[in-house]
Amino acid sequence: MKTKAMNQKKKKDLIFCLLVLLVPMVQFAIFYVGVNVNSFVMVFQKYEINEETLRGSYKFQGFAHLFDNFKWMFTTIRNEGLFLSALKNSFIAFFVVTLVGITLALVFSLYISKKMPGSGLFRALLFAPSILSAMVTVLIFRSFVEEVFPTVFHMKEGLYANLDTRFGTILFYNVWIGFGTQVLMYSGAMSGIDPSITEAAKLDGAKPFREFFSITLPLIYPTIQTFLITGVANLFLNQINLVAFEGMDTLGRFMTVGYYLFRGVERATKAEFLLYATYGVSLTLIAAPLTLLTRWALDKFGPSVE
Amino acid sequence: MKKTWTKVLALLCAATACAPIAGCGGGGDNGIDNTKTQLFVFNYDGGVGHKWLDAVVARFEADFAETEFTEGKKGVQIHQRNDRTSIEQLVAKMSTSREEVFFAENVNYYNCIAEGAFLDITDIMEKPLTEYGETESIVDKLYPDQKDFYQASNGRYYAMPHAQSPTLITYDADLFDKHFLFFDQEGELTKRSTDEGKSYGADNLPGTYDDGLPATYEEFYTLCDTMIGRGIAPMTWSGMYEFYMTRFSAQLRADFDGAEADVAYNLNGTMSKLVDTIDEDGNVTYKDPVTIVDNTNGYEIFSSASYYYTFKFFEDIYTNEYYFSKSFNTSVSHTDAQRNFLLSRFSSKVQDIGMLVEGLYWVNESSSAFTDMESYANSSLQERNLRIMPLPKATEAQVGEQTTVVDSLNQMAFISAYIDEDKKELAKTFLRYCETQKSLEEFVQTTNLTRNFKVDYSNIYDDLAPYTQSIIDFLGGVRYLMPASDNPIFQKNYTALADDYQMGTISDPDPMIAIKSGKTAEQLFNAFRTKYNANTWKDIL
Repeated sequence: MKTKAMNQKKKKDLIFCLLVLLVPMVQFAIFYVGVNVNSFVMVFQKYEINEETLRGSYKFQGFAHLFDNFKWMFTTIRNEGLFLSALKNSFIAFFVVTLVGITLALVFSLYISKKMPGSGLFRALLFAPSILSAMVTVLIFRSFVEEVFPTVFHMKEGLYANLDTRFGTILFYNVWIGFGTQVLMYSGAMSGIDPSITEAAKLDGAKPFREFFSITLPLIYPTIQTFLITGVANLFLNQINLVAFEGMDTLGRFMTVGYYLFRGVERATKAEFLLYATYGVSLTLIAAPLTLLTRWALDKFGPSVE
Repeated sequence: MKKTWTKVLALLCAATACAPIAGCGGGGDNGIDNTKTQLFVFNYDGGVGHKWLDAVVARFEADFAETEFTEGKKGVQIHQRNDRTSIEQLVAKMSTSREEVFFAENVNYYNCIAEGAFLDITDIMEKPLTEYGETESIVDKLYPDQKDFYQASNGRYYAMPHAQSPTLITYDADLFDKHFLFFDQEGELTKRSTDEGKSYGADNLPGTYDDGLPATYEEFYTLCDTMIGRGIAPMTWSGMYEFYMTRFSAQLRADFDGAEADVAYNLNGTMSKLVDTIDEDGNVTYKDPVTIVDNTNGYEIFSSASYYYTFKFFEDIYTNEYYFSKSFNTSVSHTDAQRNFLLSRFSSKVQDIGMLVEGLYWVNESSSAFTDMESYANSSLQERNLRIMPLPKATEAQVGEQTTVVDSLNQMAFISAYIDEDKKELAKTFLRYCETQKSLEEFVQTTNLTRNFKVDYSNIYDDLAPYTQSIIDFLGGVRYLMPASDNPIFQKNYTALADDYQMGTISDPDPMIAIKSGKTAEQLFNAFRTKYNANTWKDIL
């Protein structure tokens, strides 16, 4: 009797769980699985317009032309030169925003977690930009580098107007705006470290540097690892806030791959969707193993808690 | 207790996940009068604004107050949605959108037809507007180039033109008068706009709207030098949005190519001004005329001398500093540039500025600037002598040739293909109503812009602002191109071949920025014409 009641209860719980999960699962199926499967199919399709109805439709390329969209993609890459420049910018952005950003965020987090003078204010200042809309912070930042900087330092033009300093200025903005979340996460992880461990280290004569590299870093390593892995996975998606800076009209030399694809799809004709689907699938073939490789390498070579 | 809270939390999470779904669908029934037939209209609320639509809707609702478009419902109630939704978003949601009639911009006409988004409106295009006392049909009101563009290859029409919005030069004729900046017959700047004996301008005809204005690039530079000598900044533009100058460069290119300009879009036709060589002094020699056949030598269009002369014009403007000091300041938006231009004549804090590079709709965007200037005498649009400057010609030999203008915004009016069968008649009636003589005149009066139709504005001309008069004068005599075609190669490579990108190499998509960063016109042109060649062209077919 008791077992039967338990089974019925389990059944009810299961139905409840399934109903709760239904909407997100459907959403995931349509907007993730469906979209990605469709992208994959489009790689092997062509776009044709019926001469009578003028309606366009996607059709299978045929086995003789199976890889025509890849040829088209490589020709576009070769002719435009834009994609390669965007690729270079994406790697630069990854290095600066992710690697330099994480390093600096760790320094700030350590300062805050050690409750150094003004650390509360420091945390608020670093986090404040993150709670504002990107458009607002970009406008404030842009006015600052365009109006305040030239006035204070008697420069002929602002850091953004000057094409030589524009990309660096955008990267600086991304590093700065990224501090909020990272500092919050790292300082949270640091404050979770058992004080008895650091006390013991101090009693053993460990200096602050030793304490950071031998105790703090290994213990918050999973948090750092998460940021690094998502940074790699995001390599070809990161548009470094260019949309907020310039809408759809960023100069070619400053584009990243993420922005290039976003802008391309936003403007593409039905025929051009095939090109961007091919870009998407090709980049996934690079990014997916790269992300897995990064995770493996971080697991294998990262600092150990032991 | 804990489990109850877990369930409540889970339900809240599920409800949150459902929230986006609640956002789908219609916008509610607020204000709907069920005794009348409803029509939903989308209007891109950019530089053209929506005052014109308010006016035409009010007249339409009054004129058709007793008409039954749906059985049992007398009269019409029109609901407007005025915002800046992009055409891509509109088309993507067309099948579920409640809007039925659209006035949109940046429309890639042939791509939208292929997507099946537009209703076939051939019947209302070809039927004379006799119910409004007119003899012409909407097709009769189209310029020949527009007719060719809008009539699809199957002979049907799916959209019609909306506002004309090329990016051109507006000049302050009051300032020009004050400083005698109109050319006389000897090529000296000694005249005012009202004087006799002015030069004939770019059209080389006496007594026309461009008399006394620069006919060639050389005269334009003379004008700029003189302005600088008199303490005036010759021209300004938005530093924040570089595409304004790119769009302007497309105008210069199209005007140079003239009757051959459309080959850049349809990739078929003969081009007679393709560069063979450029000598050290910048003199250009042409190849023998080349017939462009899209799938073999379409890449030749990038060798047109029009690109070289456009880049050279930009190079000369930049190197000679013929611009207002804040023209490259990226925090100066288009409205800031407009305000600087308008205010410069009244404020001692802003240097006088002679010309503004902008889309023709700019006077609507700067309504707040006009309001702020009300304390100054004669500062309203109606009172100020702002005018459109016809494009000067690159060479002396081209003076007198008809000006070619290319549209910058591709604004069109159309009906959704997903409209309910019983609403089609109403939607078509409304669209026809918008193209009547009265509606087209009213459009000019409310927007200071023209719709892209042949219209006789003589009834209202004298009451219009000088700026609006100059638009009518100028655009009435030009060849007007839409920057697109149904050529499959053009459509397949739309992003690469559309104007915004056609005018630049990829590392330098904006010619003026490329010049600013140290490229010469010749370097830019050489990089440009090698963008595609016989080998690479065949790969994009």
